[in-house]
This record gives sequence, C-alpha cells and structure tokens, in this order.
Amino acid sequence: MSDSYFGFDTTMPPLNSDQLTAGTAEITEDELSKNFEEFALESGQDFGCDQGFDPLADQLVETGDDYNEETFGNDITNIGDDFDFTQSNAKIADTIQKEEKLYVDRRKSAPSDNNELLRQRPLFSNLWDDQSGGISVNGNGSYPNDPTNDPKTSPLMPESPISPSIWGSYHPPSTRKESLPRHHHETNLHHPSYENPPTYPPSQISPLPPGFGPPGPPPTARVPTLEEIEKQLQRQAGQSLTKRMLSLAEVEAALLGLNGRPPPLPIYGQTEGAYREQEAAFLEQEAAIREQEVMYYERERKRREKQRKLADMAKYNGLMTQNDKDYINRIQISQLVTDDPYSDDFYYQIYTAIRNRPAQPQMGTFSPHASGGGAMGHERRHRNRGSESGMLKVQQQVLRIVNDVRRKPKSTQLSLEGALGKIALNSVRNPRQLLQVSTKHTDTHQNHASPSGGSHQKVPSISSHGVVDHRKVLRSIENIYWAVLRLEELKRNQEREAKDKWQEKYTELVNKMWEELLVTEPIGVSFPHPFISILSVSKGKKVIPRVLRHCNKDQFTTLITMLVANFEALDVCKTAIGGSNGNIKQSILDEVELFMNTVVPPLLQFVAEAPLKIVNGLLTLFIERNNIIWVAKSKVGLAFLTMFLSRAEILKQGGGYMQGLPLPEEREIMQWQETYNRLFNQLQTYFLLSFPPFMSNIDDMYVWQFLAAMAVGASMEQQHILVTEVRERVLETVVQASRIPQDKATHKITNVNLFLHALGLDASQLKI
Amino acid sequence: MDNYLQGQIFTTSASLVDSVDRKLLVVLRDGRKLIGVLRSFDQFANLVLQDTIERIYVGDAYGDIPRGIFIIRGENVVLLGEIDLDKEDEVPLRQRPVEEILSAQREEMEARQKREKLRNKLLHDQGFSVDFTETDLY
Amino acid sequence: MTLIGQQVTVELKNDLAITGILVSVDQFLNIKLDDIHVVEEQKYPHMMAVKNCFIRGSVVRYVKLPASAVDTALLQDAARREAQQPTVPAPR
Repeated sequence: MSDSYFGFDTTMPPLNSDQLTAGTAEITEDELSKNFEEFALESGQDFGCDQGFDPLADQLVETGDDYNEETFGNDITNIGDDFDFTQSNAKIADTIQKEEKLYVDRRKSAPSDNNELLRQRPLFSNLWDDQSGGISVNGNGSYPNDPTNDPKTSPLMPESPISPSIWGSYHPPSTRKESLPRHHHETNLHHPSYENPPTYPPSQISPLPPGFGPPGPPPTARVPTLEEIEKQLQRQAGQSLTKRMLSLAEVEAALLGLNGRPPPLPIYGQTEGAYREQEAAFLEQEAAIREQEVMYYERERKRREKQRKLADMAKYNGLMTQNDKDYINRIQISQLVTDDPYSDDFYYQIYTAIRNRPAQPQMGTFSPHASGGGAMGHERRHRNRGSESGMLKVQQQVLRIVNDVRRKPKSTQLSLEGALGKIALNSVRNPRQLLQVSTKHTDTHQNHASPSGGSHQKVPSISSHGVVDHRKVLRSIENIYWAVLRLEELKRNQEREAKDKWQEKYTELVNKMWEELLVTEPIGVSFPHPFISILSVSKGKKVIPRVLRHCNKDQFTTLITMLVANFEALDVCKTAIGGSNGNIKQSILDEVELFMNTVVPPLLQFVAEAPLKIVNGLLTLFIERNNIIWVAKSKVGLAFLTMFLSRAEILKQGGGYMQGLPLPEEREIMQWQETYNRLFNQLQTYFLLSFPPFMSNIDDMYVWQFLAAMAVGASMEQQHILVTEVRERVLETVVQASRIPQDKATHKITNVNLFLHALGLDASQLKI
Repeated sequence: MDNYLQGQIFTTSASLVDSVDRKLLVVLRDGRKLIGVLRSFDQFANLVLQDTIERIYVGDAYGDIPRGIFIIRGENVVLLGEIDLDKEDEVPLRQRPVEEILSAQREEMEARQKREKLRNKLLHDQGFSVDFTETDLY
Repeated sequence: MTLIGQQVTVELKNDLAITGILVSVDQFLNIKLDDIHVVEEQKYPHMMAVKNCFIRGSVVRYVKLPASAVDTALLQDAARREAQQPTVPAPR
C-alpha cells in the first residue's frame, strides 16, 4: 500500500522476471496454461501472460505438510496481524483467493508437486474445497465482462501466483480485496508497453498502488472514498526524489504506523450466509481502516513534507561554522567581563543567595571567585554528572576568555582582528549616552552624587542647616541605604581583606550611617525630630532592621531613647489613631504593619535583653514626653508599653538572671513600681479607649496583650479597677464569640483569655 | 530549568546560534515580514537570510514575493521566530497571487489613512493637537 | 537569569504581546522565548506558525513577570547601587 510495502516488494526474488522464466522444462506447458486459462476465464481476471506462468508449476507441488496445522494453526480466522508488516497485503486478497483456486486446480493435476513456497497453505485449500461457490464469491466474479478478460491482451500479472504465495499466505486476506489491485489493473491495461511480460521489471509486476504506478487515467469511481488517498498518493508521486532518499525511513515509519491495527476480520466463512454476514461487518471495518489509512497517509505526508523542507534547506547547512559561532560568542562574552559580579549583577547574586539556598552556579558573571571552590563547588557536587562536566567546561572556557580580555589593556573600545569597526566594551556599565543630564544643578542641597567622597565635610550637613525638610529626609534615607549597602558588601567580603583595614572601613561606614540617621540631632529644632521623620517614610522604616544590625549597644540605646522621647510624632502613632468612628485609612494601616514588622522586632530584641534600669528609664521617658493616653490608643504605642511592662515583670521575677544580669536592686524595683503606678493612674478610666471599635474587623489581640501585661504588674486594687473598666468589652467579646464560626470564636476567646489568665481567671468561668 | 542551560545562554549569540540553518520569520521595524533560512549572524544580530520570501498579510490572506538573499542590519529587526515546519501549512490562511495581495494591501492602507484623517479631523475640531501620525511606533 | 524557565509576557512597542517561556536574556535586553503564543493571535496572523522567538531588546515596551518571582526590595537596592556606580570610587 504505502511505498514501504514496495520497498520490500521490489526486492523480492520471486517476482524477478528471470525467476519467472526459470525451470520451464520441469513442467509441461500445456498443463499449466490450461489451468491458468481456466482460472482466468472463470474469475474474469486477466493474467495476461500464459507463457510466463510456466516455471510456477513445479513450485506449486508440495509435500511434507503434515505438521502445517500444528505450525500454523487450524483456525485461520485467528491469525493476528503482528506479522503483517504493511497491511498492504490486504489489497491482494483477491489474488490470494484466485491463487487458492489455482492451487486446488493444480493439486488435481499435479498431486505430487513439490512446491516449497506453497507448502504452508493446505488449510486454505481445504476451506476452498468445502466451499461450493469458490470463485464466484470472490469479488472478481462480478466482472465477467471486464475487457481484461482475455489473458493475452493484458500483460500485467498482479495476481502472479508467486507474489501472494509469499506475501499473502501468512495473512488472512483483508480489506482491500478488490479495490486497489483492480483499479491498478484497469489502469495499467491501457499501457501499451506492457505487452511483453518477461521483460517487466519486478516492481511493475507487483500490485502497485496507484500513486506509484506508471501514470494512467485517474482512478475509477468504483470506490469513491479512495479518491482522497489516491490524490495524496499522486501528490507524493511528484516527489519521487525525496521519496527515494527516504525509503528506509519510510519503511520504518510504515512498520510503526501499521503495527497498531486491529486484526482484520476473516473472510473465509464456513457457509455462504456466514460469509455474507462477515462481509457486512467487513465493509464497516473496511471503512474504519480506510479512515485510519487516510490519517496515516496524512501523517506520513506531513512527515515527508517536513523531511523535504529540511532537505531543501540542508543544502547550505553549516555555512556558518562552529568557529564562526564561537568567535561571535567570544566577542560578546568579552563585553560582559566584570571584576565585581556583586556590583554588576547585584540583584541576581543576592536573589539567588536568598531564594535558592541550594544556589545555582553563577554563570551570568565572571568573577574569578565564581569558579570552583567554596560553597558553590560543594553544591555542584550534588548535581548530576552530565551537566556537571558541561558546567565545568563552559566555566573553563569562559574563564579563559575572561582572562584573555583582562590581559589586554583596559579601554572602552576593542578592535578585533578581522572585525568591522570597533566593538564597544563594557556596554552594560558604559551604555551609549543619549541624554546629557547635569547633576550639579539638581543637587544644590547636598552633593549626593559622591557620598563616599567625604561629602559631609564639603557640603554643610543637615544639622548645621537647622530645620530639616522632607526633601532632606529623603536624601538622608538614601544616604543611609548607601551606607548600609556598603556595609553589607563589606561584610560579605570580610575574609578577603586584612582584619584591621577591614575594621577601619567598617567603623567609618557605621559612623557615616549613624550620622545620616540623624538620631543625635538636637530635639526641638525641627518638628518632628529628623529621626522621627525618617521613620515616618516607609523606606525609612524598612532600612531600620538593616541599620540596627551594625549598631552597638550604645547606639541602640540612643536610638530607642530618641524614638520613645518623640513617639507621638511618629506617623504610625499620630495618624494611626481612629476618630470616634475608629476609621483609619488602609495606607496608614499598612504603614503600621510595616512598622510592626520592621522597626519593632529589633527593638523588642534589645529591650528583651535590657536591665530594669534602662526599661524603667525608657518607660519614664515615654510617659513624660508623650501624651500617654493618646499614645495608648495606637497599636504601636500599646506595643511599646507592652514591651516595657512585660520586660520589667520578667526582670522583677528574676528572669534576667538567665541572661547574666544581676538581680534588680530593691531601689530599682521601687522606682519601677512608681513608674508603673504613674502609668496606671494616667491610663485609668481610659483603658477602654485603647480598643478599636467593637464592630471593626481589626484584631484587638494587641490590646488584650497590653491589658494582660498591665494586669500582671497590678496590685489587687489596680486589678479590680482594670476588670471593672474592661468588663463590658470582655462580656461583649465572649457573647460575640458564641455567635460566630468556631475558628474565629476560638481566636476571640483566646484573646480575652490573655487578659483573664493574667488575673487568674478564664473565659469559661464567665456567666453570661 | 536545567542549571546547565541556564548558565549557558547569556549572550545574543548563544540565543541565536540554535536558529542557524533553520527557517525563520523575521519581522522588521517597517512591518515587513521576511521568511528565510538563517545562515549567519554577528554580535550585532545582523542576519543573513537565504531563500527569502517577503510575505504580505492582509486579513486572512497572504501573498509571497521571492526575494533571495537578505543581509539584515540588526537594528531593523523587531523579532525573529523559528517556523514550525509542521504547523506552517496548517495555518487557516489563504495564499493569494502577489498582485491580488498587493492591491488588497493598498486598499487596506488607504482605508486606514481615511480613518485616521477622519479621526484627526474630529480631534482637531475638539482642540487636540494632531501632529502625531500613527506609525509602527519604534 | 532568575526568571529563566518562567512564563513571561513581552509587550513590544508595536503592541504585539507575546507570552512564552523565558529562555534567555542578554545584556541588550534581547529576549528569547519558547513555546510562544501571541496574545491577540487573529491580529497577528504571521505569528501563527512561529514556535519560539528572539525579540530585540530595543523594541520591548514591557516585560510582564510573575509578581512572586520579583524581590522588589532587593530590586530597589540594586537600583540604588546602579545609580551610585558610575561616579562612586571603590570604598577606601
């Protein structure tokens, strides 16, 4: 069917015309031609070559077929198709039938024939013997008036007994029992050059599918569904060049493509009726298979079309050699060379360090440190081998290129031998300038452009200006970032530098950073205090944890003191207090969250290690310098109060001992108690104001935490006051909790219990 | 993604090298679409295309003009894409003779200019500045 | 580099927007995408049979990235460094 079939077919020895004429002497020509003609007339088929038949007679005799049934099975209907390489045999089904008849006839005339090729076929003959109609059932029987009837006028012999004996004997004849061969047969009829059978090339003798046969009239309309296939085939025929080139691949494709087909139905029924039934089922399957074939051809056609395209293109493949490619690549890599991947590819370096702890090798940059060694080398060992060696190879190549480039004198341009023009170097660092923006005029306040160049000595620092405006605050924040980035980089490179030199740089940068924080600016010159202004910008908040990592204890203490002293000026305090309706803008709530997540944690850490004296001092300052009733309405204000209160309580109970702090002196505890009482007295009757509005969605846990911290340090009397004040809220919350979903209710009760537990109570004890 | 690959492709050339000897579509800044086989390139992404055709698209139809070999200066390239050899014959577009497609293109352009003129007039009447004419925006 | 293998959408200055798996980016912001599909395919019929593409950096208007894949704080730091770089001498 497909040309894959013909790939086999054309080389089949039995179809060779030489063989067809061989051994003529061993059989009487009369006998054979008589048989043949008889068959041809009966079947309405035309074999067109009576004399070419001669050598077959002796081959049709066979003996020693006693075990055929065992070998090939009794039931030919169950023959699978796993051996059916192409399914092409289907179309010679009729041939097989004819051949069966022929065989039967011949057996009568030459019972002792010794035909090797046909020895496997007694079963078929038995079947045919049983069948009364024999040939008449065959589709060919319906063509009694076929003009091809006369064997002498039609040279083609697609039904050559040998061909099916080889190919067909293993197959139950299936679908195309008449369509294709018949069409072909008819087509070739009109070809005058077929008059002389012995000279036929084998491929023409074989039952060719229409597309590959010699050009002839278009297929008849007998089986209209075939037209599609044939069209495709004819199209393919036009591409004979490619086809030949690919024959082996095609054979493979054909084998693969056809293996999955269902076994064809048997056509040899026991009775006429059964046969008809089968034929009906058969027609169905035929249609299905045809469909499959159409699909197959479509697939095959596409594949071949692609192959053809590729072949067309292949003519000039490799015009650009590997050398050329490498050369271009080298030029480009040389533009990427950097001494400092941390500066040039900062984001990637840090991102991978943070995110992909099992870090990827840093191939994007070519630091001498990026190759081999260290943590990276260790990680690489875990990778699979193939990519590891590949990596290594690339790394080595890159390193070599990089070193080559480094050896050459530094310049912004590089002219390469043979290259047209000059190639700009460092194009990332040194982009083509399109805009000429002068930075001098925009930087009147401070020469930020060179913050490391001792700008603060040359340019008057903010402090001497006195009042600090928002613009200066922003400038300061950027300067803080600059210092922090430097410090972080310095930390990363700690091992690479001499210790004392490193320490010197480090201290210098910390001092610079500290200066820019404006913590030590005098209070009262600007309002709010410049440091508070810094903390009121979100990027100022964000930088604090990174700043504090480089601060010593004294700086810490100064910083928190300054913060506490000016607390109510903080944006997260002054703007984050709801009015009577408790509405706070989302942007401010975001700022509060940011402050709680960035500024508070390091300070909490500091306070958690501070001695009572400092805690006491901070709380005193807090109370003295701020309107504490007001501050206590803000979340951050309560967070600070809670922080001081709980720390003091821990220290009072000797918790500092674990941290190596001496037990607080009696005097210190007394002082603390005084401060506490002061706080309590100020907040008394205002405790309820700390809560967010009852119906708001704000989680009030921080208030309960604060109340718990208050309750723990309170006297019996103070506890009583506290309970009386917030009693309503407690009850409301518990009642509310009974009406809302379980998980939310649990959270509410837990919050209330924070406070109640501090008093030795529990929400479950409350009677509502 | 394989780290190995990730490490490898970081230059223009490395990302173009796979497309050499493949059939490409190249879109130029003036909107022209060229289809040909990439034979060579350099560090500026200047390209050499062989067996090039210029393909003109109008609506769901297209027409081809054979052009031969192209050396394209890199700066004029908008994008280049490898053509899926299986898919290219399946696109739901009709091929038309060049003359037909060229006249269709002309019509399309004139229609657009008309539209633009009308719009500009309306805008102008409303007091907008209409110096700006729509180009390919590069 | 950190986005290699992720799906991104590249919008060009001529409004053509292409979504695909990021294969590579070079120093000119040339972008290579794989398994591409054009956002408004019917408007750009020429892209139908194209399976991957190399986009010249100079024609890119936007690159839309998955938000989760970008560390904005770090990006700000990187921008700060970048801004300081050309005029800042090495730390003494």
